Amino acid sequence: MTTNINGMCPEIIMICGALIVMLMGLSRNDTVRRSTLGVAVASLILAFIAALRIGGIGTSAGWTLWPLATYDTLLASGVGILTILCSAGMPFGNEPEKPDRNYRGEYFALMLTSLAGVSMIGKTTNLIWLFLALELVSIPTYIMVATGRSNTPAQEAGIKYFFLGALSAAIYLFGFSYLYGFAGSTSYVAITAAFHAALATGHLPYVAIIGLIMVVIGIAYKIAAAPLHYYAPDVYQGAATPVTAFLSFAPKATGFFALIMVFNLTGWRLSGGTARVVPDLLIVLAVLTMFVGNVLALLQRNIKRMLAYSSISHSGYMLVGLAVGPFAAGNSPASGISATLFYLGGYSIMTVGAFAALTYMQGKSDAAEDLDDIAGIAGEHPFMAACMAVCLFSLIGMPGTIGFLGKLFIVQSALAGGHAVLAVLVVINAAIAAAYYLRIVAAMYIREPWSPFAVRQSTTLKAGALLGAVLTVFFGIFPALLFHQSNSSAAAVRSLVLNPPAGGIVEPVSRRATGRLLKSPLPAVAPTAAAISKP
Amino acid sequence: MTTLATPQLAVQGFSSLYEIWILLGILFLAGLGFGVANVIISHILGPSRKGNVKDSVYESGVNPVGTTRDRFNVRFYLVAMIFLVFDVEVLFLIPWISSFNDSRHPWLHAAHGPLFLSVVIFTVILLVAYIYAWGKGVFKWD
Amino acid sequence: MVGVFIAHLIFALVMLGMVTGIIAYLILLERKTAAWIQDRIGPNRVGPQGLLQPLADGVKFILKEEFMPIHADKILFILAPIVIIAPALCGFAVIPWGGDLAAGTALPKFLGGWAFPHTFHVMVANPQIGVLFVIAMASLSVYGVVLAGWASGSKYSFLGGLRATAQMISYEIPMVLSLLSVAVVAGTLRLGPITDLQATYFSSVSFLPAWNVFTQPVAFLLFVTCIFAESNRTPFDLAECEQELVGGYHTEYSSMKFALFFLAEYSAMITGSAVAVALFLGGWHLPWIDQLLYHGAQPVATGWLGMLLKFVVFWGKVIAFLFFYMWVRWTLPRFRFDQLMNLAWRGMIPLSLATFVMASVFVYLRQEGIIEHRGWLLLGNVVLIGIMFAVTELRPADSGNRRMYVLNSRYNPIPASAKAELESAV
Repeated sequence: MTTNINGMCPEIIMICGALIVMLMGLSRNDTVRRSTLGVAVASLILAFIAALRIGGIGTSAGWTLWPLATYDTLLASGVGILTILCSAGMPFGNEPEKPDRNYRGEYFALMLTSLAGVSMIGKTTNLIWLFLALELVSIPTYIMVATGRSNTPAQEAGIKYFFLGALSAAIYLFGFSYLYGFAGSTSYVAITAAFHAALATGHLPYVAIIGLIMVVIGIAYKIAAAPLHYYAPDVYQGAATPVTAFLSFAPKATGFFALIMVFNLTGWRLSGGTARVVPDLLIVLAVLTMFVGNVLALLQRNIKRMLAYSSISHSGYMLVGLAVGPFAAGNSPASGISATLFYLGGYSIMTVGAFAALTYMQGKSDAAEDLDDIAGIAGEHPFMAACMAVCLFSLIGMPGTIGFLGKLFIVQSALAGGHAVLAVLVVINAAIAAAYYLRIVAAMYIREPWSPFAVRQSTTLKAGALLGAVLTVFFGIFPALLFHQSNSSAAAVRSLVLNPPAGGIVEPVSRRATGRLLKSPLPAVAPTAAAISKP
Repeated sequence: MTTLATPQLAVQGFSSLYEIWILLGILFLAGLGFGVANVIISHILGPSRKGNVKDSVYESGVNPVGTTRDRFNVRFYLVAMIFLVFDVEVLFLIPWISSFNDSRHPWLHAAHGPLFLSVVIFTVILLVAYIYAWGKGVFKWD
Repeated sequence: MVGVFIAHLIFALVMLGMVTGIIAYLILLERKTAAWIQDRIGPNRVGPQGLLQPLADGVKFILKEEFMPIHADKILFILAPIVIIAPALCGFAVIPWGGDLAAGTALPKFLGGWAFPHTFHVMVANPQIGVLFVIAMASLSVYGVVLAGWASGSKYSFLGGLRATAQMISYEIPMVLSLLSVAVVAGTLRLGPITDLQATYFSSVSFLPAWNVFTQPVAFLLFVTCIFAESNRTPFDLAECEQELVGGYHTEYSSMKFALFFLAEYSAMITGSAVAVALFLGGWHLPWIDQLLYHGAQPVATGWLGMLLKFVVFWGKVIAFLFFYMWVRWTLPRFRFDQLMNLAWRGMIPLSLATFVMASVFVYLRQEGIIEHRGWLLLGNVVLIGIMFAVTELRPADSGNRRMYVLNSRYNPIPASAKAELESAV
C-alpha cells in the first residue's frame, strides 16, 4: 500500500462511487436507477482527474513507482469509462413490475470495485496488498459473468470462471508464500533486498524460482495466456457482451501490472544459471499464446469466441515485451516495459471499442453471436459498422491506428533485446490475425443481409463505440500522450531496478500526512518492546 | 480519565499463561466426560426392545412419508450468508476494542483519533451492506 | 506455581458440581414457579415439598430406554447431546463469582494453612479474552442443535434444527455487539475488571450504583433478549415448540440423551444469567449496604468473609435473574417465525450497532477529555431510544401481519362474497 493516504484518492473515490451506486440501485424509482450509469461515469472521471492531480505526490515515499501507479489508475478509470458506456447495452432484468430483479446498481458497483482493484495494483508495496488487489479485481467479475445474463451458458461460464479463478488465485498465493519463505517478509523492499543478495552470489535458491514460476503461472490465467487460456472462449461467449468487454480489459491489465510488480522484485536480472528458467518460461508462454490465440481464432465462426481468441493472442504480444525486459532500447518507447504498457493501453481501448459496437448489434437473441448475425449490417447501420471496422483494423495493426504503433514498439523492443526470432514470430502472427479480423469486416461490408437486424438503440452505447473508435485513431496519430506515460513508467521501473531502495522496513505511516488529515500526530518514537510487553 | 488501573496481572501467580488454558481444557474435558458417561450409563442400564415400527421416526403416529434430507427454503442460506458478513465484522471489532481503549499502551492512546475514524468508516460500510440487504428483501420472512 | 493452579482446579471442580446440582434444582424451581403462576401446587410427592424430585427424575432418565431411529446418522446422533453439553458446562469458567481473595489469605488450619501468594481471582480462569470466551461457548451450542436436528432423520427434528440455527445465529450478532459496547467502555475483555468498575456510584452524592444496567440500559435489554433466544426459551422456543414440532430437534431423543439437552438448556440459562449479572447488574456489588459494611465502596480484594458475602450476593442475583427467566416463560406466548427474524434483523441488529457506536463515541470523547462522567452514557442511551422510536414511526409499515380469513371462524370468518366464490369453485 502506498505510504500516503492521499495517493489512494482515486481508489477511495471509486469505492465511494460503488457504495453510492449500490444504494441507488435499490430505489424503486426507475429514473434513479437509470442515473447510476451517470454516477459511475462521474466517479471514474473524478478518479481520473485525481490521478492526474496527485501524480507526483509520493515521489519521496520510497518504494512506490508513482508514474507506473498513475498510468495504472489512468488506464483503469479511462478505459473504465468506456466499459461503463458499453454497459448501457446490458439487459439488466428490466421488468417494470419487478424492481427487485433489477441489478443495475449492483452491476456498476461491482464494476467500480473491480476497477478500484485494477487501479490499486500499481500502488502495492507488499505481496499481501498485491493479493488483495488481485482478488478485488477478480471476485466482482465472477459475479458479473454469472448475473449478466440469465441463460444456461452464462451460468456455466460463471461457474467455470469462478472455479478456475479460485484455482489460479490459490496458485499465485502459493507462489507468494514461497517468496515470503525466501525473503522472510512480504514487503517488496525486503524481497528486493533478498533477490539482490541472492543474485549477487550468482545463485538463486530453488524456493525463489518455484515461487516466481507459480506466480507467473497463476497470473498467466488472469491474462489468459496459453496453456491456461481454456476458460477464456467459453466465458467470453457465455457472458453478456459488455461483461465480455470488461473481461477483455480488467483481468489483463491487472495481470500485466502484477507481473511487472513481481518482476521488479527480482530486478529483471534473471539471466544466468537456474534463474534463466523464468525468462525462458515467459518466452515460451509468449510464443504459445500468440500462436494458440491466432490459429484457433481462425477456426471460429462465433464472433465473441473469435474475439476471445484474439484477446489471447494479444496477451502473447504483450508477453513478448515482458520477456524482453526494461533494459533493451534504453529510455525509448521501444524498451520492453514501455512497449508492453503502451500496447496494454492501446489494446484496452480498441478491444472495448469493438465490443461496444458488437453490443449495439443485437442479433437474434440478446447479442450478436454468429458471423451471419452481422452479415451486411453496414448497409443498414453504417455508423456502428464503421466504428467496429476501425477497432478491428487497429486490432490487426493497420498503420494510422494505435494497434500499429503497439505492434511496432513490441517488434522494436524484441529486436533491441536481441530476440529477433520473437520479432519475426510477432509479425507472422499479425499476418495470421489479419485473416480472421478481415472476415468480420468482410461479413459486415460485403455479404448480403439475410435477416432483419435487431439493434440496441442506445445513445450511450453509440457514444461508447464512437469514443473507442475515435481514441483508437487519435492515439494512432498522436501517440505521444500515451507513450509519454508508458515511457515514464518504464523509466521509473528502470531507475528503481538500478538503484533499489535500501533494505529495511518502509516507514509504516507517513506521519505528517496522517497528522494533517486527522489532526492527531503519532508519537515520534515507536514503542519499544518493553513498553508493549509491560502488563 | 476513568480508565481502569489494571489490577489484573497477565499472569496471576501462574507460571505461564498456558496454565489458564490447561484449566479451561480440563473443564471442557470434564464437561465432555459428563456427557459421555451419562450416555454410556443409560445405554447400559436402560432396557432395549427393538421393532420395525418402533424404530421408525416419529411422524405423529402415521407411517413416515418421503425423505427428510430434502431441499429446504433458500432463506436459511441467505441468513447464513448475511450472518457471515456481520460475524466477520464483529470479529474485527474485538481486536479494535482491545487496542482502542487500552490503558496499558499509552502510545495507542495517542492514536485514538485515527483508530476512532477507522471504526466509523468500517461501520458506515457495514451500514451500506445492511441497507442493501434490507432493500433486496433478505430480511423479509412472510 | 503449582499451588495456585491446584487452587483454581479445585475451584473449577467445585463450581462444576455446584452448577450441575443447581441445574437439577432449577428444574424443580421451574415446575414450582409454573405451578405458582398457574395456581396449582406442583410436584410435592417425592420428599418434603417435592425436594427430592430432581433425584427421582435423574434415576428415571438413566433407567429409561434409549431410542434411535433407523434412518438416523448413528455417530452424529450420539455425538449431538455430548457436543451440546460440553461447552454449556464450560461457559461459567470466566465468571467472577466473588471478587478477589487478597494476597496472603490463608486456608483454615485443618486444610494446611496454605496462604495464597497472589491475589486469587474467584473464578475458574481469567483469560484476557473473557467476553470472547463467553461468546465462543454460547455459539458452540449451535452445533449440538444442528447435529441433533440433522442426525435424527425426522422431519420435526430437521425443521426444529433449521429454525434453531437461523434463530441462534441471528441473535448472536446483537448479543455480541451489546457485550462489546460494555467492553469498549471498560477497556478490557476480562469479566473481572468490568465487574469491579461497576462497584461504585454515579457520583459521591448519587444514590444510583454505576451498574452497566443503568449506564447502558439499551445494551442490557438487547443482551437479555438475546440470551433468551440463545437458550431457546419462551418466547423464542420455536425450535422445540411442542404444538407444531412435537419437540423440535430433540423429538427423537429419549433417556439420558434427552436429559443432556435439557441440562444444556438450563446450563446455558445459568451462564447467561451469570454473565448478565457480572456485566450489567454489578456482579458481587451489594449497593447501599456496602456503605454500612465498609464505610465506603466495597473493596475488590477481601478475606474469606468478604468473599463468601460476595459469592452469596452474586448467586442471589443469578437466582433472581433465573426466576425472571421462568416468569417470562410462563407469561409470554411464543413468536411467529417471521416476527422472530424481523425482531433480530430489522430491530435488534441496527439498534445494537447504534449502541456500540454510541459507546465508542463516548469512549472517544472521554479520551479527548471532553466528557468524563458516566451519566453522559446514560443520556446517550436515552437519546438512542428516542431516535429508535422516531425511526420506527418513519419506517414503512410491514405487510407481514395480514388478516387470514378462516372458514367457520368466529373471529375472522370468510366474507360472504369470497365464500360464495369458494363454494362455486369447489
